[in-house]
Amino acid sequence: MNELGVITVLLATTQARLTRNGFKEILQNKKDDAAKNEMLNCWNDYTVTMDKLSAVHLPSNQKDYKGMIKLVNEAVKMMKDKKISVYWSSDLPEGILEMISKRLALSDYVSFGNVCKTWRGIVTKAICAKPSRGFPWLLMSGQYETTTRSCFSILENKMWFLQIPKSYGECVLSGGCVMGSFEEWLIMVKFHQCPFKISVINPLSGVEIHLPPVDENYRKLMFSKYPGDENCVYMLFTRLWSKSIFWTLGAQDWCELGADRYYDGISLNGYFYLLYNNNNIRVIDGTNILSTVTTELYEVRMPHDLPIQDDDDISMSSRYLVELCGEIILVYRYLRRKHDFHSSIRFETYDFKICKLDLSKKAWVALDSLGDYVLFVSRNCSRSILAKELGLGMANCIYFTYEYDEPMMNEWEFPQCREGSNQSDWGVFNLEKNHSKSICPIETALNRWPSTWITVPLWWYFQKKTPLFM
Amino acid sequence: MSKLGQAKRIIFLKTADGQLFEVDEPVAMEFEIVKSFFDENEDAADDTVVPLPNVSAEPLAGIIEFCKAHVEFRANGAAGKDEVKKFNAEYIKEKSNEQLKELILAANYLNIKEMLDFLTETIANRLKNKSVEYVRAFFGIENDFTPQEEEAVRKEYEWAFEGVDED
Repeated sequence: MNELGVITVLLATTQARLTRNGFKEILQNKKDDAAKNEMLNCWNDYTVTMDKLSAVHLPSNQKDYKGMIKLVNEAVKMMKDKKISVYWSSDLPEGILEMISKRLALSDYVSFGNVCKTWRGIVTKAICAKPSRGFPWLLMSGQYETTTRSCFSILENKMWFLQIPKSYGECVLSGGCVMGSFEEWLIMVKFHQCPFKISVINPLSGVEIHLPPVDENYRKLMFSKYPGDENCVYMLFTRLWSKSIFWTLGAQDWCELGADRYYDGISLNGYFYLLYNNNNIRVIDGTNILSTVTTELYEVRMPHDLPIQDDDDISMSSRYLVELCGEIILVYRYLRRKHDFHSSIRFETYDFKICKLDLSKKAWVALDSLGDYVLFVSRNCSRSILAKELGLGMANCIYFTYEYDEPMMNEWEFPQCREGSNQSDWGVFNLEKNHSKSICPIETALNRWPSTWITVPLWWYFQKKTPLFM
Repeated sequence: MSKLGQAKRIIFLKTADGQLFEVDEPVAMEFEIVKSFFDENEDAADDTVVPLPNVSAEPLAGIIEFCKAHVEFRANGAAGKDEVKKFNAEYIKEKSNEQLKELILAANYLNIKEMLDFLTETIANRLKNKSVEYVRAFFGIENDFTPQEEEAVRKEYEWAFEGVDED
C-alpha cells in the first residue's frame, strides 16, 4: 500500500513536472503578450500542483495514508481543473460572452464562433440580428472564358475563388458580365442581346433574381430592401438615356419614374435619395411606390470650398453616395491625368472630399473626417464599415477601386477594357494624411483590370454548405 | 445620513468568504446592486452590512481599486483622458486570466457597467488575431463539434489559398 502510494505520487509528480517544463518551453518561444500570459498561468498552476505533490512525500513517509490520499486527490483535481489555466465557458453568463463577441473584429469573431456549439449559437443569433456585417472582398475581373472569379479578401489577406453560374460567365461574348455589386449580390448583365437581361444573383446562396428586360444597359441599380425580399423596390438608371425606372417582384414590367436625369442615388430606410448632377436631391418614398409615387425635391447648397471641377483632358471627378450611421454622405473623388507617356495609365486618383446631407438646412455640410469609419466606394454600391469591426487599426480612410476613365461607366470586363489596359488606380486613401497607397495584393495581370467590392456576410463563414456554384 | 455631516459615509460590504469591506459611499454606489439595495431600503442604518453572497474578497478588492480610481478620475475631470488609459493598462497588466474571469463574474454580479465594458474589451484584445485553437485554450473549452462538423469547416477553408497562379 505504501509502495503503491509512493509510486502514484511519483508518477503524478513526474507528469506535472513534464507538463510544467512543456509550458516553460512554449513560454520562451511565445512572442505575443496574451499567449505569454496564458502560458505563465499554466506554468504557475503546475508549480502549485507540484508543491502539493511534493508535500505528499511527507505523509507517505509517516505512513499517513489518509493525509497522502487527500493531498494526491487535491493535486490530481488541480491538474485536471488547471489543465489549461481556467475554465470559462461553464459559468460565464451568456450576456458576458455576447459583450465580448461584440467587441471582436470580424476575423476574431469567426474564430469565436468556431470554438464550440454554445458560442456558435451566440454568434448565429447576433448574425441574424445584424445580417449585413461581413468581410470586404475585392472581386477581380474574370479571366477569359471562365466562370471563376478571383476575390481578394483584404482582412484575411488571401484569395478566394467565386464561381458564377455558367450561363452568366462562360463566355464574355455569349454570356453575361458582372457589372456591379450590392453587398454579396452580383449584378449580371447579358448585353449582347437586345433587350438587355439584368439579373441579381447571390453567388453564396444561389438565389437569382431576373429583372424584366431593359432596352439599354444600366448605370445604377438600387434596392430598397435586401434583394429577394418580396417588398424590395428595384430602382434603375439606364446608361445612355438616363431613364429612371423601378420594379418590384411580381410586377410585369418596369414603371417609369419621370424624365429627370440623376447622377447617383442611394436607398435608405425605404426611401430613395436621388442625386442630380448639380447635387440637388430628390427624395422618393419607396414604401408604396407602386400605387403612388411621392417625391420631394430639395435644392441643396454645396460647401463653398469644395472644389467642383469640370471633367476635361487633365482632370475629372466622380461622386458616390454612401450611407454612414444613418446619414447620407457625398464622396467626391478627384482624378488627374498622369503625365507618363510610357504607361497607358491615363488618370489617377489624388484626392477625396466628403460632405454630409443636412436636409433640414438644405445643405451639403463639409466633413473633415469619417471618424471611426472606413468607406468602400465602388461601382453601383458603396458602403461604410466601422474600422474596429474590420480590425484594421486604420479609420478615416476610403477604399477605392479602379474605374475606367469615364467616371459614369459602371461596366467592366468589356473586352475592349482589357485589351492593353494597364490600369491600377485603386487603393486606400487616408483622409487624415491626405494620401493614398496601393492595396494591390498580388502583382499579376489581375490587378490591371477593374474590380468591385462585395461584402461576404458572416453567415457564409459558418455555413457548411459549399459557397460555390458547382 | 451621517451624523457628522461632513464626514464621508462608509458602506460595509460582506463577501461570500466572510470578509468585511469598508468602502467610501461614492465608490460603493458604482455597484448597481449596492445602490439599489439602499434605494430599496432607504431607512437602512448607517452601519448596515450589505451581503454579497456571490463575490469573494479577492475580486472585490480588485474591483474597489478600479472603481475608486475611476470615481477620482471623474471628480478630477480626467475621465477619458490618457491618465485613465494608463491606469487601466497598468491595472490589467498584472492580472492573470483566472483573475480576469473572477473580476468579470464579480463585476457582472455587482452590475458595474463601466468596469464590464473595460474587462470585456480587455478580453477581446487578448483574443485579437488568434486561432480557434487558441481561443479554446484561452477559455479552456472543449471542442464539442463532431468530426463531421469539423471536417465541414476544414473543407470550407480548402477553397482558400495563398496567392494566385501566374497569369
